[in-house]
Amino acid sequence: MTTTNGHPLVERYLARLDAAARRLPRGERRELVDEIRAHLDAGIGPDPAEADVRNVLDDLGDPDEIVAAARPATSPTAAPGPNGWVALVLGILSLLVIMVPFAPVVLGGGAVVLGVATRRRARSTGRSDGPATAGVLIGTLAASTGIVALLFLLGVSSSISADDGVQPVRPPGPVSPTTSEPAPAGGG
Amino acid sequence: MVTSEGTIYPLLSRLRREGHVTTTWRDSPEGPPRKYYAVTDQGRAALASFTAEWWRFRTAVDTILGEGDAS
Repeated sequence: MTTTNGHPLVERYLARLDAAARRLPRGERRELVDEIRAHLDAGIGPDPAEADVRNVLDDLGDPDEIVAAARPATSPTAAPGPNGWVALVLGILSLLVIMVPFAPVVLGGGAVVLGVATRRRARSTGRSDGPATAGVLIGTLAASTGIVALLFLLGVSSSISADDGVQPVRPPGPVSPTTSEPAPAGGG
Repeated sequence: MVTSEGTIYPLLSRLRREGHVTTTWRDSPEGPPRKYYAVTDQGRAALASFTAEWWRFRTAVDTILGEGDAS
Protein backbone atom coordinates (compact mmCIF):
# COMPACT_ATOMS: atom_id res chain seq x y z
CA MET A 1 0.00 0.00 0.00
CA THR A 2 1.50 3.35 -0.99
CA THR A 3 0.65 6.55 0.74
CA THR A 4 -1.80 8.89 -0.91
CA ASN A 5 -0.02 12.07 0.05
CA GLY A 6 3.63 11.06 -0.24
CA HIS A 7 4.76 14.09 1.71
CA PRO A 8 8.55 14.01 2.15
CA LEU A 9 8.22 14.41 5.93
CA VAL A 10 5.84 11.45 6.04
CA GLU A 11 8.14 9.34 3.93
CA ARG A 12 11.13 10.22 6.11
CA TYR A 13 9.13 9.35 9.24
CA LEU A 14 8.05 5.99 7.78
CA ALA A 15 11.63 5.22 6.77
CA ARG A 16 12.77 5.90 10.33
CA LEU A 17 9.97 3.72 11.68
CA ASP A 18 10.85 0.90 9.31
CA ALA A 19 14.50 1.07 10.36
CA ALA A 20 13.56 1.11 14.06
CA ALA A 21 11.29 -1.90 13.52
CA ARG A 22 14.09 -3.96 12.01
CA ARG A 23 14.43 -6.01 15.20
CA LEU A 24 10.79 -7.13 15.03
CA PRO A 25 9.80 -10.33 13.22
CA ARG A 26 9.19 -9.64 9.54
CA GLY A 27 5.39 -9.93 9.67
CA GLU A 28 5.06 -7.71 12.72
CA ARG A 29 7.34 -5.11 11.20
CA ARG A 30 5.33 -4.90 7.98
CA GLU A 31 2.02 -4.82 9.86
CA LEU A 32 3.22 -1.99 12.09
CA VAL A 33 4.51 0.14 9.22
CA ASP A 34 1.31 -0.48 7.23
CA GLU A 35 -0.85 0.56 10.16
CA ILE A 36 1.08 3.74 10.83
CA ARG A 37 0.95 4.52 7.13
CA ALA A 38 -2.81 4.01 7.09
CA HIS A 39 -3.10 6.23 10.16
CA LEU A 40 -1.14 8.96 8.37
CA ASP A 41 -3.18 8.53 5.20
CA ALA A 42 -6.37 8.98 7.19
CA GLY A 43 -5.02 11.89 9.22
CA ILE A 44 -3.32 13.90 6.49
CA GLY A 45 -5.40 15.06 3.56
CA PRO A 46 -4.12 15.71 0.07
CA ASP A 47 -1.83 18.72 -0.30
CA PRO A 48 -1.44 19.39 3.44
CA ALA A 49 0.27 22.33 5.10
CA GLU A 50 3.67 21.38 6.49
CA ALA A 51 2.62 22.47 9.98
CA ASP A 52 -0.32 20.03 9.87
CA VAL A 53 1.96 17.18 8.81
CA ARG A 54 4.38 18.00 11.63
CA ASN A 55 1.55 18.06 14.16
CA VAL A 56 0.24 14.66 13.09
CA LEU A 57 3.75 13.18 13.20
CA ASP A 58 4.46 14.71 16.61
CA ASP A 59 1.23 13.22 17.96
CA LEU A 60 2.19 9.81 16.62
CA GLY A 61 5.41 9.98 18.59
CA ASP A 62 8.96 8.82 18.21
CA PRO A 63 9.38 5.70 16.01
CA ASP A 64 11.65 4.08 18.59
CA GLU A 65 8.98 4.55 21.23
CA ILE A 66 6.35 2.96 18.98
CA VAL A 67 8.57 -0.02 18.23
CA ALA A 68 9.40 -0.42 21.92
CA ALA A 69 5.67 -0.87 22.62
CA ALA A 70 5.57 -3.83 20.24
CA ARG A 71 7.38 -5.97 22.79
CA PRO A 72 6.88 -6.53 26.51
CA ALA A 73 8.90 -3.98 28.44
CA THR A 74 11.62 -6.36 29.60
CA SER A 75 12.65 -8.13 26.43
CA PRO A 76 14.07 -5.45 24.10
CA THR A 77 17.00 -4.56 26.33
CA ALA A 78 17.21 -7.77 28.36
CA ALA A 79 20.52 -9.59 28.36
CA PRO A 80 20.58 -13.06 26.84
CA GLY A 81 18.47 -15.22 29.13
CA PRO A 82 20.01 -17.74 31.50
CA ASN A 83 18.85 -20.55 29.26
CA GLY A 84 21.58 -19.75 26.74
CA TRP A 85 24.24 -20.13 29.42
CA VAL A 86 22.60 -23.27 30.79
CA ALA A 87 22.74 -24.74 27.29
CA LEU A 88 26.43 -23.85 27.03
CA VAL A 89 27.22 -25.35 30.45
CA LEU A 90 25.29 -28.50 29.57
CA GLY A 91 27.22 -28.73 26.32
CA ILE A 92 30.58 -28.40 28.09
CA LEU A 93 29.52 -30.94 30.76
CA SER A 94 28.52 -33.38 28.04
CA LEU A 95 32.03 -33.05 26.58
CA LEU A 96 33.59 -33.70 29.99
CA VAL A 97 31.65 -36.94 30.45
CA ILE A 98 32.24 -38.03 26.88
CA MET A 99 33.68 -41.38 28.06
CA VAL A 100 30.65 -42.27 30.21
CA PRO A 101 28.06 -44.33 28.33
CA PHE A 102 24.78 -42.46 27.69
CA ALA A 103 25.82 -39.31 29.61
CA PRO A 104 27.03 -37.25 26.62
CA VAL A 105 23.91 -38.22 24.67
CA VAL A 106 21.57 -37.09 27.43
CA LEU A 107 23.46 -33.93 28.39
CA GLY A 108 24.36 -32.99 24.83
CA GLY A 109 20.81 -33.60 23.68
CA GLY A 110 19.56 -31.40 26.52
CA ALA A 111 22.00 -28.67 25.50
CA VAL A 112 20.78 -28.83 21.90
CA VAL A 113 17.08 -28.73 22.80
CA LEU A 114 17.54 -25.89 25.28
CA GLY A 115 19.88 -23.97 23.00
CA VAL A 116 17.59 -24.20 19.99
CA ALA A 117 14.59 -23.06 22.04
CA THR A 118 16.57 -20.16 23.49
CA ARG A 119 17.82 -19.14 20.07
CA ARG A 120 14.31 -19.21 18.64
CA ARG A 121 13.02 -16.98 21.41
CA ALA A 122 15.98 -14.64 21.11
CA ARG A 123 15.44 -14.35 17.37
CA SER A 124 11.78 -13.43 17.85
CA THR A 125 12.96 -10.37 19.78
CA GLY A 126 15.63 -9.61 17.20
CA ARG A 127 18.57 -10.56 19.37
CA SER A 128 21.19 -13.21 18.85
CA ASP A 129 22.21 -15.49 21.67
CA GLY A 130 25.87 -16.46 21.51
CA PRO A 131 25.97 -18.82 24.52
CA ALA A 132 22.95 -20.73 23.25
CA THR A 133 24.52 -21.10 19.82
CA ALA A 134 27.75 -22.39 21.36
CA GLY A 135 25.70 -24.76 23.53
CA VAL A 136 23.92 -26.14 20.47
CA LEU A 137 27.19 -26.70 18.62
CA ILE A 138 29.03 -28.31 21.54
CA GLY A 139 25.95 -30.33 22.51
CA THR A 140 25.59 -31.63 18.96
CA LEU A 141 29.25 -32.62 18.91
CA ALA A 142 29.07 -34.38 22.29
CA ALA A 143 25.76 -36.10 21.62
CA SER A 144 26.78 -37.39 18.21
CA THR A 145 30.15 -38.56 19.55
CA GLY A 146 28.28 -40.23 22.40
CA ILE A 147 25.92 -41.98 20.00
CA VAL A 148 28.80 -43.21 17.85
CA ALA A 149 30.60 -44.40 20.99
CA LEU A 150 27.47 -46.20 22.19
CA LEU A 151 27.01 -47.91 18.83
CA PHE A 152 30.68 -48.90 18.91
CA LEU A 153 30.34 -50.28 22.46
CA LEU A 154 27.20 -52.17 21.50
CA GLY A 155 29.01 -53.62 18.50
CA VAL A 156 32.04 -54.63 20.57
CA SER A 157 30.01 -56.14 23.40
CA SER A 158 27.81 -58.12 21.05
CA SER A 159 30.85 -59.47 19.22
CA ILE A 160 32.46 -60.34 22.55
CA SER A 161 29.36 -62.15 23.78
CA ALA A 162 29.15 -63.92 20.44
CA ASP A 163 32.73 -65.09 20.92
CA ASP A 164 32.13 -66.01 24.52
CA GLY A 165 30.50 -69.32 23.72
CA VAL A 166 33.42 -70.41 21.59
CA GLN A 167 36.56 -69.16 23.27
CA PRO A 168 36.16 -67.91 26.83
CA VAL A 169 39.79 -66.97 27.42
CA ARG A 170 41.93 -67.07 24.34
CA PRO A 171 41.78 -64.43 21.66
CA PRO A 172 40.03 -65.60 18.54
CA GLY A 173 42.40 -67.19 16.07
CA PRO A 174 43.05 -70.32 14.19
CA VAL A 175 42.51 -73.21 16.57
CA SER A 176 44.14 -76.51 15.78
CA PRO A 177 45.69 -79.29 17.82
CA THR A 178 49.19 -77.95 17.08
CA THR A 179 48.50 -74.63 18.80
CA SER A 180 47.75 -76.31 22.11
CA GLU A 181 51.44 -76.59 23.02
CA PRO A 182 52.41 -72.90 23.17
CA ALA A 183 48.99 -72.00 24.44
CA PRO A 184 49.28 -72.88 28.16
CA ALA A 185 50.95 -69.54 28.78
CA GLY A 186 47.47 -68.02 29.10
CA GLY A 187 45.91 -71.01 30.79
CA GLY A 188 47.14 -70.48 34.39
CA MET B 1 -0.56 7.72 30.08
CA VAL B 2 0.33 6.85 26.49
CA THR B 3 2.96 9.36 25.50
CA SER B 4 2.63 8.87 21.77
CA GLU B 5 -0.49 7.99 19.80
CA GLY B 6 1.42 5.61 17.57
CA THR B 7 2.03 3.12 20.37
CA ILE B 8 -1.66 2.12 20.20
CA TYR B 9 -0.94 0.08 17.04
CA PRO B 10 1.74 -2.24 18.43
CA LEU B 11 -0.29 -2.58 21.64
CA LEU B 12 -3.41 -3.62 19.73
CA SER B 13 -1.32 -5.97 17.66
CA ARG B 14 0.02 -7.58 20.84
CA LEU B 15 -3.49 -7.95 22.25
CA ARG B 16 -4.50 -9.72 19.07
CA ARG B 17 -1.47 -12.05 19.09
CA GLU B 18 -2.29 -12.96 22.67
CA GLY B 19 -5.90 -13.70 21.72
CA HIS B 20 -7.45 -10.91 23.77
CA VAL B 21 -9.02 -9.23 20.75
CA THR B 22 -10.01 -10.24 17.25
CA THR B 23 -9.86 -8.03 14.17
CA THR B 24 -11.99 -7.83 11.05
CA TRP B 25 -11.61 -5.62 8.03
CA ARG B 26 -14.75 -3.83 6.87
CA ASP B 27 -15.29 -1.65 3.87
CA SER B 28 -15.65 1.98 4.69
CA PRO B 29 -18.13 4.27 2.91
CA GLU B 30 -15.27 6.68 2.50
CA GLY B 31 -11.60 5.87 2.08
CA PRO B 32 -9.84 2.53 2.48
CA PRO B 33 -11.25 -0.47 4.45
CA ARG B 34 -11.08 -0.15 8.23
CA LYS B 35 -9.93 -2.66 10.80
CA TYR B 36 -12.40 -3.30 13.63
CA TYR B 37 -11.30 -4.72 16.97
CA ALA B 38 -13.54 -6.83 19.24
CA VAL B 39 -12.71 -8.12 22.73
CA THR B 40 -12.76 -11.92 23.00
CA ASP B 41 -13.98 -14.00 25.96
CA GLN B 42 -10.35 -14.64 26.79
CA GLY B 43 -9.73 -10.90 26.75
CA ARG B 44 -12.65 -10.31 29.11
CA ALA B 45 -11.33 -13.02 31.44
CA ALA B 46 -7.87 -11.42 31.38
CA LEU B 47 -9.40 -8.06 32.22
CA ALA B 48 -11.38 -9.59 35.11
CA SER B 49 -8.33 -11.31 36.56
CA PHE B 50 -6.24 -8.15 36.20
CA THR B 51 -8.99 -6.13 37.90
CA ALA B 52 -9.09 -8.58 40.80
CA GLU B 53 -5.30 -8.47 41.04
CA TRP B 54 -5.40 -4.68 41.01
CA TRP B 55 -7.89 -4.60 43.88
CA ARG B 56 -5.69 -6.84 45.98
CA PHE B 57 -2.65 -4.69 45.18
CA ARG B 58 -4.50 -1.46 45.93
CA THR B 59 -5.86 -2.77 49.21
CA ALA B 60 -2.41 -3.90 50.26
CA VAL B 61 -0.87 -0.52 49.45
CA ASP B 62 -3.74 1.33 51.14
CA THR B 63 -3.24 -0.78 54.25
CA ILE B 64 0.48 -0.05 54.38
CA LEU B 65 -0.05 3.68 53.79
CA GLY B 66 -2.91 3.76 56.34
CA GLU B 67 -0.71 2.12 58.98
CA GLY B 68 2.01 4.62 58.17
CA ASP B 69 -0.41 7.52 58.77
CA ALA B 70 -1.73 6.08 62.03
CA SER B 71 1.67 5.81 63.72
